[in-house]
Amino acid sequence: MDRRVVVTGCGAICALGENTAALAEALATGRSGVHAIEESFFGRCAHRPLMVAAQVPTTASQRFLRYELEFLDRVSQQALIAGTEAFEQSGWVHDSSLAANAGVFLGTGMGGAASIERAYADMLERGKEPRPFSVLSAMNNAAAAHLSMRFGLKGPNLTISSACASSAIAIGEAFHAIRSGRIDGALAGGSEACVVPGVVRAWRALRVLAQSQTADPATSCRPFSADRSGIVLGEGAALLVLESGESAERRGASVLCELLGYGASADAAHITNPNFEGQARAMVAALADAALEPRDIDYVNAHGTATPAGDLSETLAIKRVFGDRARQIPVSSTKSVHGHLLGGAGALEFIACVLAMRAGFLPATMHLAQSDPDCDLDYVSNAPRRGVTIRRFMSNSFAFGGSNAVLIGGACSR
Amino acid sequence: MNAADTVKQLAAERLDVPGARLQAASTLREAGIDSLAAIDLIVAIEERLGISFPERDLESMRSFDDLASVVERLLAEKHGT
Repeated sequence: MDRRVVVTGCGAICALGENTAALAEALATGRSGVHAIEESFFGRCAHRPLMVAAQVPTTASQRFLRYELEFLDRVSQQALIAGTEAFEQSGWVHDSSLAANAGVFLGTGMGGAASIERAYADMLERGKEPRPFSVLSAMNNAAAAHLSMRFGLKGPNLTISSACASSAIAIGEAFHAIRSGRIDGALAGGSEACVVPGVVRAWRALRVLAQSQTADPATSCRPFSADRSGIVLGEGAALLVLESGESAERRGASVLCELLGYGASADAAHITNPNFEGQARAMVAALADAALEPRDIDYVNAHGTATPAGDLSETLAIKRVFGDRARQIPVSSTKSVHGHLLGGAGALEFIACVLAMRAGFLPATMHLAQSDPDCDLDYVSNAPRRGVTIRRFMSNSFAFGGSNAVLIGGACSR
Repeated sequence: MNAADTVKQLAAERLDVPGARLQAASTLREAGIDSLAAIDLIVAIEERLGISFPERDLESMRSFDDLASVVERLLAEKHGT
């Protein structure tokens, strides 16, 4: 049994705002959520030169009770905020029959990083016991567990941690589980709250973070630009309500997008170096899964982290898959404005595609200041392109560890 | 303020339990405080009063009176009276 799988709800929180409307507005205008990290953020380990990130405003925590905050790490808070938006939009709130066989598929790379860091700081710096709920807030599956409890979702509850491919894999696996009839619906996506001092410093130590653009820190993430200098860490969550086409029809729900294909692969080569052949294999697998040809794709939302090696590899992979047409397909990296959400990246970028498709524009690769002769595709440079019809899009996610995942979505075919 | 009042005040502050519900409750369960919330409450009491609950006592504390009597005993031990 192969069923159609559709998206009936989207929710997102990131540096650009606390809902999908804010995300859509920022993508349509090219507004950046990247900023310089306050020096006080690092406490005694203050750092020079300035570092940048795309943080979620701390006011988001005000939506929770004080007691809840004891065991809700920001990774779970964000997931609940995005999940609530998606759930309400889908109308599932009024249909409890779906919840019995609906699952949660959540990607996160670093889980409750702030809770782990706080426990170590209490123990090693302050000579105190860790907080009593450190385990509950830090465990990687906490966010997925809270989503199931909040919305009464009694199907399988999975946390997927494959670094930067986590949430694309989560959506892809949920899609296949619904398509095959194993479950009726899912809340699928990812959450990441990685901008905590130790994590930022650890990424810095790996020498992959972007240098701050001193004139304007908001422009520090520069995918595909010759002067790109690396990743800008971002925070947020993005969740989709997925269900079978029949279920959406029966409920009279508005369909925002149809999920068409999912492909995954491993480079089996190197822990950090990207491999364009592995990336291309995932793209080809997604096309085969969707029974589509490369010519059917109107837009590629790139992984595009703005590392020198990553953007080059992805450009080669796109050329491998799309051949002569590669230069005609618009490709953009929205990380230039929302940063890299690691385990939440694939889901946020999938939603960016859904919003752009529905509003009829192509999101830009912002801050592409200098063209790189080796990165020679159409990157929708520096300004969103309006009045464009996207029928089907591809969203790429490539992870440290060599795990690649590609999703294809499109306007509802019926 | 006696120990029982301190315990109930901290429950109201930290756990957002409504005052009326707290006043009427004799057991933690009646106040809507489950096993996890009880741990949070105990840690709050420890921090506020500078005492440390022995682990063997935790299981037996089901009512506010149980909690208050342990708090009083620990405070007395702390002050050497």
